[in-house]
Amino acid sequence: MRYSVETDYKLFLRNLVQYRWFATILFCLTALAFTVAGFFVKNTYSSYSTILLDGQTTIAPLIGSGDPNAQASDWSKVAEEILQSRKTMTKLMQAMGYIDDKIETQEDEILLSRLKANTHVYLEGNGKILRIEHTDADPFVAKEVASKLTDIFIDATHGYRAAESEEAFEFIDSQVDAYHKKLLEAEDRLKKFKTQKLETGASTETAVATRIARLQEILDQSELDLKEAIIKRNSLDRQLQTEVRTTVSLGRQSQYVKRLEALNDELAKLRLTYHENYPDIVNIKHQIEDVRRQIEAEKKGNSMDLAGIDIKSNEVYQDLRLQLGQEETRIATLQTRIAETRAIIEQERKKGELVNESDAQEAELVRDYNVNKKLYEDLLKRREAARVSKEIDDQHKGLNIKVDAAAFLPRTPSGFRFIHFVAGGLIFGTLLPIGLIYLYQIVDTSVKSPELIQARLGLNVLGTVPDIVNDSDLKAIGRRDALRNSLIWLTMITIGVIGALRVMGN
Amino acid sequence: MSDSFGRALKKVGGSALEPTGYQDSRHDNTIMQRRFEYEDGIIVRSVEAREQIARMAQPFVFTRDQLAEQHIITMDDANAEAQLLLKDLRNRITLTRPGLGATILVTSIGRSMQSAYFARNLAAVMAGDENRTSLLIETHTTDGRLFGEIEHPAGLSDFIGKEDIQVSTLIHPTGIPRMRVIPFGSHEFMDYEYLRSTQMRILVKDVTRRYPRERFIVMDAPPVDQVADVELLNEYADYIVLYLPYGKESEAKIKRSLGKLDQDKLVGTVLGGAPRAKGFLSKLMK
Repeated sequence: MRYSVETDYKLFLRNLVQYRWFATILFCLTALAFTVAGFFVKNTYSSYSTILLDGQTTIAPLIGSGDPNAQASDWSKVAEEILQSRKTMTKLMQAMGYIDDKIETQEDEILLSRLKANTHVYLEGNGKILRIEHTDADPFVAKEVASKLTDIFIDATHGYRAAESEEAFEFIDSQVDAYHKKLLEAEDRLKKFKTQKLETGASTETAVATRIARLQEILDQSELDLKEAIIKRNSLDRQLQTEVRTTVSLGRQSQYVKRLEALNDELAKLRLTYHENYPDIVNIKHQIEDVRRQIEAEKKGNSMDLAGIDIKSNEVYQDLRLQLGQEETRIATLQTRIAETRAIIEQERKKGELVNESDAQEAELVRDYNVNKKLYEDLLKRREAARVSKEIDDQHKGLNIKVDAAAFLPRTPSGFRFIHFVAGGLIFGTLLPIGLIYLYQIVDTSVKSPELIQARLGLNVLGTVPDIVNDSDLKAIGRRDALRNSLIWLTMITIGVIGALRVMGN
Repeated sequence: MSDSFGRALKKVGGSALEPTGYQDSRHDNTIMQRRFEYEDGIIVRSVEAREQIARMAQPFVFTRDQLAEQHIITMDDANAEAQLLLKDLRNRITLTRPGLGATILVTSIGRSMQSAYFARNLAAVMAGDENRTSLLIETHTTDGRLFGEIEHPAGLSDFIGKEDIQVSTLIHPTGIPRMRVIPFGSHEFMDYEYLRSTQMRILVKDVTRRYPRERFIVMDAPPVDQVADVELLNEYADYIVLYLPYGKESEAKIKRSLGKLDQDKLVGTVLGGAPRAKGFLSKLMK
């Protein structure tokens, strides 16, 4: 029941008085328990050595930033790993002479875990100082272990570093090999491609274009020539035809005319002799009619009958004939050429496409090659750096790590000592009941303060009085008080006795 | 009245009452005169009562040890705080109704012998005034033996249980001057039903009428939260005092118990049994 700070305070004091027995007994028990615990706690001694760590070595700036793992060391992790490892502990136990060879028995295991538990590593001074501490009941052992652990740690750290650089070097080396192989492959591919390109005659794009242009020109010229030749031929042909017809026609007409004249002579002769109805005269008349018809026909040019006409004997004809033959030949030649040129052009076009394609391919191959080459060169450089760093680490020069303060022989016990336990017991024994009583006061619902009654219940409180007591009651109270006091004194004396025992025991 | 007034005047010495010192006052002295008369009346009544009271039988007087045994507070013992409180309470009660007696019911929440001690001491304190007498009625069993050496004195339970006993035989003198007691007696009851019996009513009426003036009756009642019939005693009482044991009862329980008591008659509560601090702590607590 809470009301106000003042009532709380007064109530708390009243509660302290009310629960004085509880407080006294709790105090005595706590103080005694702590003292007894302190009595059985062994004095322990801590010894430690400090190691100055500096990731940056004097060599590091000389080799540049080639070493990828020069500064990346997380010291607390490394130290933990090294010092808590079984290997280190085994070495330590060998050095301390606890075991001869290996950890075999269960006792060895227990010893190992105890050593491990009592060894602590602290990283101090901005991560620049490593403190290796060991605690033991024997100060000499503490010092020995701390100093041995420091040695082992330094050795192991170098080993660790060497292994790390070795690993790094190996990795880079393997990478170099891999890239070398890749580079060779790329080179090979490029070579093959170039050869192939030469084989196919695929020249450059511009060359192809000029060739196509030239061919096109030839083609155009040829076509023009062809047209010309055809025209010429046609003209010759026509001339030849005309010439022949004329010649033939003239020949025939003269023949027909001659025949007609002959017929007409005969007729005239016959007429002289014979009547008009004479069969011969009729016959000749018919013949004359026929010839005349033929002449007519010849004049119209309908008859192409060359039979029996000697054209070859005509020189013009011969000449025309020759020219015509020549033109025919030329036409044929030109046509062939045109077809040929077209084919070539088509071929060139295809070649041009091929050239485009191969250019892209080539660019890719070159790029691939270049990239590989660059990486390879870079890796080569790195490998050299790694090799140097490996060499350095192999010679234990890669790390600037040295013992700053060697392990010492501790004089005063460390950790909680008997006196701490006694003091702690007295303080805790006082505070615990007070705290518990205060806690109880918070949860206690019983009515204890007049202020509360007045305010919450509206009751007029006449007063707060202790129990009405008589002499015998007072005597009983006095006896109880004396008992309580003697309990406290007894506790104190017991603590003193235990303390004396311990001092004598040591 | 005038008779007794005269006698009383003689007893206290008339000359002392002469208002000579105020004769030449510039004020109208009638008020003053009346005031003196009123005071005279009180004194006369007191003297009269004292005479009567002086005639009360006082067969024995407790020694200091006997008083302590009965838990009656004496001067300079360890109960100064309680005594102060009791006197304070007495003054509060007597000054509200001067010249008249009263019935005070002392009850508690939760069984506690301290409640009985408190009632007992209240009666004793009341009787401390030479003009007043007190009567303690124990309505439940206590360890008190205020009546002295008498074996099996007739008490309240005998009166209720047997009916043929005179009220006057119940009232026993105590070793404390001017204090009388009606002990609980030796009759045993199965329950607290006796509080509502007619005999109880007769008894209370009888004792309250016997000495209406200057007599204070303290009824020591059982815990109100445990005995339901305590509330019947409400009607007999003029004042109620509630004894509250320190740190034993919850607020809810107190509220419930308060409902049974007549709020108008409730003088107040006493928070008793507080831790008795000594020395440094007691200074801190102030």
